[in-house]
Formats: sequence, structure tokens, C-alpha cells
Amino acid sequence: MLYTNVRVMPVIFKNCCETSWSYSRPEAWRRVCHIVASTVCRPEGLLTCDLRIHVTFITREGDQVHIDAAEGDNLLDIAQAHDLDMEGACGGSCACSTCHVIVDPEFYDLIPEPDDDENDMLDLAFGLTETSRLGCQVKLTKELDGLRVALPQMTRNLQAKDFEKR
Amino acid sequence: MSNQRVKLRVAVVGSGPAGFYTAYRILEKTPSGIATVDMYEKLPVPYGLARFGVAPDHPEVKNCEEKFEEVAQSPYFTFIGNTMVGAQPLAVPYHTRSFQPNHVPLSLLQQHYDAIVLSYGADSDKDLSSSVQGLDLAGVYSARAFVGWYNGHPEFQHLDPDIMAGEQAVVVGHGNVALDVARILLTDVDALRKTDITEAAIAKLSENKVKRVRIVGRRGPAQASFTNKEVRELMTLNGVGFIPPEAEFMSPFLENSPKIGRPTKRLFQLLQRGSTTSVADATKHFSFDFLLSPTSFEASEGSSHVARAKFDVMQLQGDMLFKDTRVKPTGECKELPCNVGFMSVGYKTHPLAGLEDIYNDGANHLNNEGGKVCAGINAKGLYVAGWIKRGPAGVIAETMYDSFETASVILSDFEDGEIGGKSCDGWEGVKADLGDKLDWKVVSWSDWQKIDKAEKERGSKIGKEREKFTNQNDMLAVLV
Repeated sequence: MLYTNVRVMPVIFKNCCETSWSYSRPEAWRRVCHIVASTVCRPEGLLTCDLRIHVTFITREGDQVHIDAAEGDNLLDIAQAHDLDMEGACGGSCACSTCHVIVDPEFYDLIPEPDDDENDMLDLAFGLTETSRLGCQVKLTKELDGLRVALPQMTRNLQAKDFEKR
Repeated sequence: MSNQRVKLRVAVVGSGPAGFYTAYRILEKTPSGIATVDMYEKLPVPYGLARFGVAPDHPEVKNCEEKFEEVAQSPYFTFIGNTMVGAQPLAVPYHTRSFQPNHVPLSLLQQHYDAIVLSYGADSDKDLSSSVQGLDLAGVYSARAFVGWYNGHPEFQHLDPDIMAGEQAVVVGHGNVALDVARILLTDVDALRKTDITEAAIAKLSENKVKRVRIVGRRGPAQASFTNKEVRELMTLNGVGFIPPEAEFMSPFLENSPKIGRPTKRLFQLLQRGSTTSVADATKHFSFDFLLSPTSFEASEGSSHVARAKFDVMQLQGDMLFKDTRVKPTGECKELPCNVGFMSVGYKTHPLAGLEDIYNDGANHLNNEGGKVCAGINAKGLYVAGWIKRGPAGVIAETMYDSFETASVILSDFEDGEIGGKSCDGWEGVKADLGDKLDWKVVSWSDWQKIDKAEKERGSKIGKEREKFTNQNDMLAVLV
């Protein structure tokens, strides 16, 4: 525990400053708690400062949702854990296209290329772009820190207002 | 659930993905307890095509059922199984040996619900009998019936397809159902033993003599409806060789035309690369045959079993790469050997009795605007989702978005006060009105869970994921 306290405190402080400063107090507090909990519970992260990979989801309404996630997390799991409107009809097994995201071109080449299975599913995605990927197949790496992805329109007919929570 | 708080009682007709995704969205987007969903299903078992259409070797596609189970756990969701909505049987005669539907008229539902979502899909085949002779010959089957047969649908257990008649199979149609049929015919039956395909199907497929499958379509490769994943699966089947199409069909790809869209380009790559097993090493073969429109199935002299299939040779009227390019006959004919034939040319929807005036025969669905039925008598409160809304085509993902659209229209109408707030009494009211006429076993969700458990137990005894009950009586016997 002593080891934890001495070595970890500066790391926690740095992460809290970097990621929480610009948010409202409740959000900042939430982030601080999350960082502390993750840091203490993840021994391999104690000695590094790259504990968290920052991902921004741009929703269909154009809102920017900033999320701190861990290396290895995939975008579908991250989106669903944060209540974003992303479905994974096949449960993340690369058998549908409902977790389709559009990756910011700046980051697209940093993600390993899609395999045949993913490409086959992307063929069917509505609003396919040059930088489209299936969220369930994109796993976060350190190189992807700052990643930005957009949730595409679902169909021609659905408007952004259709997804407002009531 | 009779509750003062409930302001929106919704009936969903059909328990396939369209029905469930609409129910999911309605319950998710309303405060808890404001909306209730009663889901009517003609069979004792739910899930529609997710259970009876998706191929047994595609179990991951059925993962959507996990979401459906979650929806069904809601206290505001009620499953009403073994109960068909419709004043009279749909246009297709049922095979009464294995399935007797129990009817509740749609008009009764309209008295007891604020909104009704029709999501009952397509129940029959597109009928080509006026232009194709010999469809009733022994050995010629509807692909839809064949799929329903191997997937255990009560309506098709009598099919008894004769796949032992010979080596030559012809599958007419270039959609994913045609590829499913081809794949089931060509796959090593041992690969299917552990899936949820029926034991009867395994027994028959073990005697399968088919060695050469021709998947025949009326247009070219760029107009085909099947998707690359399914083509890739066929190309990688063990011991199966792909006989490549003539060079004329591959020309835009070979010429490296920049106009080719992404999925089409990838399809051409698949066709060019061919099968992982070489044609020479393969024991079974398949091919895609293009620009052939069926005219007849014929038997040999003195026989009533199909022996050959005849086609008009077609030509494309326009851009080879354009998805909607039409075709016209050249005047030439072609004949293919055929010991067993499958027609996979699309499904057909039908209107429930009373909805004929909003049915669009040409478009093959009920008329609607974004899921809302706007015109016609008794249109108020009627909505559609899934294939009955947009026509019988498209995978589960498309149906999901389609259902979300319908749900959002319903909630928008509720918010505007156009529907809801009438203190409707839903299923309780329907039951009261039916009185003595309700003389059948209504299957609840917990009843379905008993049937589900029994199927899994039967399956595990023989090393399978589940062994489906294939007729209504067996399903209901579990509940006694």
C-alpha cells in the first residue's frame, strides 16, 4: 500500500489534471474517481503515464463525447458502456454492420487494416465511407490516443431528432 | 398490466426481428411504465426468420436473440404466442397436419390498443407459375420451403425434398437464400451435425447425392442480390470447386473499370480468385450462371420427376455495372441438367384481411410513410415494420434500423397526442371480448422458455445445440 501511495499519487494527479480540468465539477469528479479506481486496480499501469486512451465520439446530433478508455477496449464496448446510441446486433462477432463508425481520416491508417470478414460486413453498411470501420473490430492502442470517430446516419429517413431521449 | 400510469398500449404482430426491435425501441425511449408492448405470434415459438430463416451454420447471426430476450424480460412486455392476428387465414393454405393457427381478428386489436405494429413479414413465394412451367413436378421446390424444412418450421416438415434423385442441382435466384440452399447442399453433413438443423434434415442430407450445383440468375454479377460474405463461404467449402464464369461476365473487372463500386469490385475479386479447393481436386462443384431466365422444368419421357431445366438467354440493356440494369431475352435458349431444382426468386407479402386497400402488390408491401399507415380505412394507430413495411429483402441490420424508424414515428405521434392516452386495456380487453372463443393454449414468455429449455436438452443428448420441435402439438406438449 505504501508503494501504491508514493509511486502512484503523481501519476494520478497528472492524469486528473490532463483529463478532467475542462469539465463541469460533477463530470470532473466522476473522471477523478474513475482514474483513481483504475490506477489502483491496474498494477501494470502504475509505472507509466499512458494509462488511458482518449477517444472522442461524435454523435449523430454533432455532439462531442469525450471518453477515456483502456488499451484493448473495442469501440462498440466503449460506446455501449457510455450509453451512446450504437447497437451491436450480433453481439460484436463481426456478423452485422450495426456498429459501423466513421473514423477521422487522421487516425484511419493507424488502425490495422480490416480483414475479409470485416470488409464483407462493411459492404452492407449504410453510408459507407473510405474511412469506415466496424466498431467491434477496432481495438484501442496507444497510437490511437486522441482517436475521433463519428456515428453515421442509420438510414436515409432517420433524422437526428429521432434519437433524442424523451 | 392494468395500471393508471400506462398511456400507450402497443400491440406488435409478429415476433421476428422487426417486431422485437420496434418493441425494444418503444420501451427504451419512454419513461418506465408509460408504454406496454403485447407481442402476438402465430406459432408457439418466437423469433420468426431469426429462428427459421438464418442458416444453422450462421449461429452468430442469431446473437440478436439475446437482445430480444432482454426486451422480453421487461415487466411491460407480454408475449402472446400460438395466437395469430387476422380474421381469416392468409392467402397461403396451411398444411394442417402440422400447424393449425388460432385467430384473433385485427379489428379486435384495434379496439384495445393505442397502436398496432404489423411486423408479420412475408409468408409466401413470389409466384412465377404463369411464366415457368413444371414448377409442380416432383423434385422442384421453393427455396423458402426448403429452408423452412431444414430449420424446423412446422409448415414445411412434410416437404421431404428428394435430394437423392441425382447429382445435378439447379438453384434459380441470385440472393442469399439461393446461396444458403447451395451451401447446405454442398457442405459436408458432418459439419452440420452439431448445429440446430433438424435431425430429419441431417438424415436426408446424409443421403444427398448432389455433386454439381448451378446457381442461376436472370441478370449479371453486378445485379446479383447476394452478398460477398456468402460467396466467400461457398468458395472456401471443403472439397468444393468453383467452376468460373465465362470471361464475358468478368470483363469490367478485368478491364479494371474505375466505375465499379466497392462491393461489386470485391465480388469480382472473389469470382476471379475462385475456390480454395481446385476444380480438379474437388469432389463437388458449383457455378454461378448469369443471364438465364427460367421458362420450364421438364421431366424425361415416362417420368414425373424433373430431369432438366430450360432457360431464355438474356442480355443486359445498359451498363453492365449498374445495379438496376434490366434485361431482355435474346431469343436463344439454354438447357441445364436438373435432378433437383429450387426456386429462390423472392418472397411475397400479403395483407391481413381488411387491409387490402392499403396493400401495394407491385411494391410487395403495405403502403406506409416511414412506418406509419396513412391512408385507407381504419388506418389510425396502424404502423408497419420489417419486410411488410419495405418489401421482403434485407438482412437483420436493415430491419433493425427500419424498426427504429417505425418506433420513432410511433413515439412522435404519441408525443403529439395523436395516439395514446385512451386507457386501452390491451390483452385483458381482447381476452374478455373473445370469451369462450379463446379455446387454445396461449403461450407466454415463460412457456416459451420451457420449450426453449426442452429443445436444448433434447439437443444436448445428441451433441447438438438444440433439437427443435417441428410441430405445434409437440411444442405445446412441453407445457402440459
